[in-house]
Amino acid sequence: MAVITVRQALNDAFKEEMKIDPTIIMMGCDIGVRGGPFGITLDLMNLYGKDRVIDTPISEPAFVGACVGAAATGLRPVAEVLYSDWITLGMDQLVNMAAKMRYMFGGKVHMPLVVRAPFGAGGGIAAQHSQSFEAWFNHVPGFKVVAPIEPYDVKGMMKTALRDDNPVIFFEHKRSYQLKGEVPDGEEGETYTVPFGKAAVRREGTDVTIVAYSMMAIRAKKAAEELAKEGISCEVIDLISLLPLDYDTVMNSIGKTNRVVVCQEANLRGGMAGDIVSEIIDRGFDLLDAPPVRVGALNVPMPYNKGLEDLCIPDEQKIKDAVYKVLDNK
Amino acid sequence: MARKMALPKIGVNMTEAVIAKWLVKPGDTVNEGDPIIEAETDKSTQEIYATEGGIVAKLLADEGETVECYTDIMVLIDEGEEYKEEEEAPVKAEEPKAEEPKVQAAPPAAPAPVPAQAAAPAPAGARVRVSPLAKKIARENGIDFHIVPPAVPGGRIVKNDVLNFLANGGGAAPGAGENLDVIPMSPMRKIIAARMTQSTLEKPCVGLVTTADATALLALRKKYKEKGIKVSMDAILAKMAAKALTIHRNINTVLEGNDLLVKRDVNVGVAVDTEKGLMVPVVKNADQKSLLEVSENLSAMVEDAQASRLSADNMGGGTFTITNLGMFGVEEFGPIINPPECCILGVGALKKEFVPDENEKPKLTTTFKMNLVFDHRIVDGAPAARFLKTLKEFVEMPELLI
Repeated sequence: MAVITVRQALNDAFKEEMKIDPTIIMMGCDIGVRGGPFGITLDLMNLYGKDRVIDTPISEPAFVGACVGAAATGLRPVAEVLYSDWITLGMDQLVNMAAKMRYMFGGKVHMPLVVRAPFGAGGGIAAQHSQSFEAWFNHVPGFKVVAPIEPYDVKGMMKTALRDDNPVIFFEHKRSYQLKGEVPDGEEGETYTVPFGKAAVRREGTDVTIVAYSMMAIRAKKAAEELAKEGISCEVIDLISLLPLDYDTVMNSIGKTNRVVVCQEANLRGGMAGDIVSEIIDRGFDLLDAPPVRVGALNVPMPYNKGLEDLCIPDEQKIKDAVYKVLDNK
Repeated sequence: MARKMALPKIGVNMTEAVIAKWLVKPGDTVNEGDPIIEAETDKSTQEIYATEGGIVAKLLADEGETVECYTDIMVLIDEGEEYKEEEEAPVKAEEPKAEEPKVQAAPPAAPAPVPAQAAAPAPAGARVRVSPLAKKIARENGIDFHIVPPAVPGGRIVKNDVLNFLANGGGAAPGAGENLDVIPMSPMRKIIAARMTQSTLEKPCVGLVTTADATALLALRKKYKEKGIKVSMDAILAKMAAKALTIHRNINTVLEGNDLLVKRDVNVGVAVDTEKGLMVPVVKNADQKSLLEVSENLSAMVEDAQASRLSADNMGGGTFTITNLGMFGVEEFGPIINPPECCILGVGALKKEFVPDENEKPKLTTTFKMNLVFDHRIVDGAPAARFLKTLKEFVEMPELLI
């Protein structure tokens, strides 16, 4: 096992996959010469050339559209939108083209497209650089939506995404690139993958199930560690994959704890957490001993001011408060 | 200005009511005369109306609670006004003495949750908060979750509450764990149970059975029907019984202490099967009403009873009761007397029968059985039999009524 960062995990995934599959190409701003604003694509242009790692003008509709076309005509493109906030500019290409084409052409066209969408808040980057839009894509049939956070999952899931014939929206948390974790090295490191639709139980517990993904899974784990000292035993589930979503693991856990808190970093209204809670109630109303509690950001544009930003984003304390609430029978 | 509205007395005999259901909630606007409560009074379920208008600020009694007449049940405020808890205080402060003696009789108007009281199981029929899981476990174990006390006073009943309740065994309902449902008695069921038990324990009863020829009675109904008038068998029997009671006044009698109270009013009750249980609307002064008046009066009350809106006044004051199970094919049965009355008449099913005519030849007729159960403390067998004979004569020759 090697301990590497999320940044390294992504870079390794691309290097290894581009080596064995010459149809993988990349488009985005500054991903070539500069190696990407976050350093994810470092060295890729040197290794695989300008024809495969393409620096584009700042026009998301153009390069997202070009990637959709490339995917439809036989390549396996990766589009990096730098900040997921700007995925809005490529929305028509994605929602009306990428997500529909395979279905509307009766399966004759494949859409092996990966959109890399660095998302999440923190660091005072304000209203246009902090958003989390995963719920929009979860709503559209035709996509796969993932948000791994641990280096092991990030690398293995990116490989799965690169090999899949459907459009995958790959949410990377922009505050996670320095996050370290164990990843297999040697041959196993080059061959393992992480499947869609399989969640991971990060911590076992008996009192409350905390369902989370991406950065919230990290915070939920920390909150659970603190709660354990107070005698509250939480089971923490990292969803990893949002669409498809591993409800079997979620419901198994709720069958044990009978109480659930669902966390998202996006503002609460219309989010994943509400959708997940609805599904939980559909599948297991009788398993519940308390109304499910959601955790999410405030329904406001993300403030630039650090103090206000901290107020908006769910942290460990807010997750703990949600656990107290779900345990309170009043 | 915040003001309190008290539970009005809407029936002569009404002293208290069980609040079965609130029809208003805080924030609702009510006008004088609007229904605000569905209440179980001594005999029936009925709506209670607002005695003044305003905006409901607070409900002072819980569903399932028994409230005496003239006890405050809710706080009203005016439009645009904000209700603060303290506003009630001056009213109390002004009349502390008047308030005190009331306390023992009525539940405190402002339900400040006393832990001991709140942790007790919720009153039957009241809305309780229970988790889906706790509900399921309770159901699987054959207990009614209403009787499970929540660990947190006034809180939601959860899995552990039910499990603790089961583990402690003490609270286990009869048949817990068996394949059955436990349903707490409704206030109405309790009333029926109490009255039937009282009657059975107090009254030495004797039943007298006779068979009556229904030919004339059926012919009478048919004639009305041809005229487009629907007259029920019960209405005809009520009218006939009323007439017979004016002749045999000793039957129209109630025992009180060592006195026989011979009633001048002849009020005939008819048992009605409703969703909530047995109800007995009473046709007042049935002897002075025409058959059609009795019939109209009775069918209107039966409709009210079925809709649970029969008023208490229409259920009280009976001096004689008729109960008919003929429609179920029951030929004969001995009913329990509706206390404090002297008699009850059990009416059986119509039945075709060959009976010998004057020439001893078989004649096809329709008959039914009448079972008169009487309280032997009040009358003896012979006078009761005379009453039954008169009634039978009326049935077989309705013209005698005129």
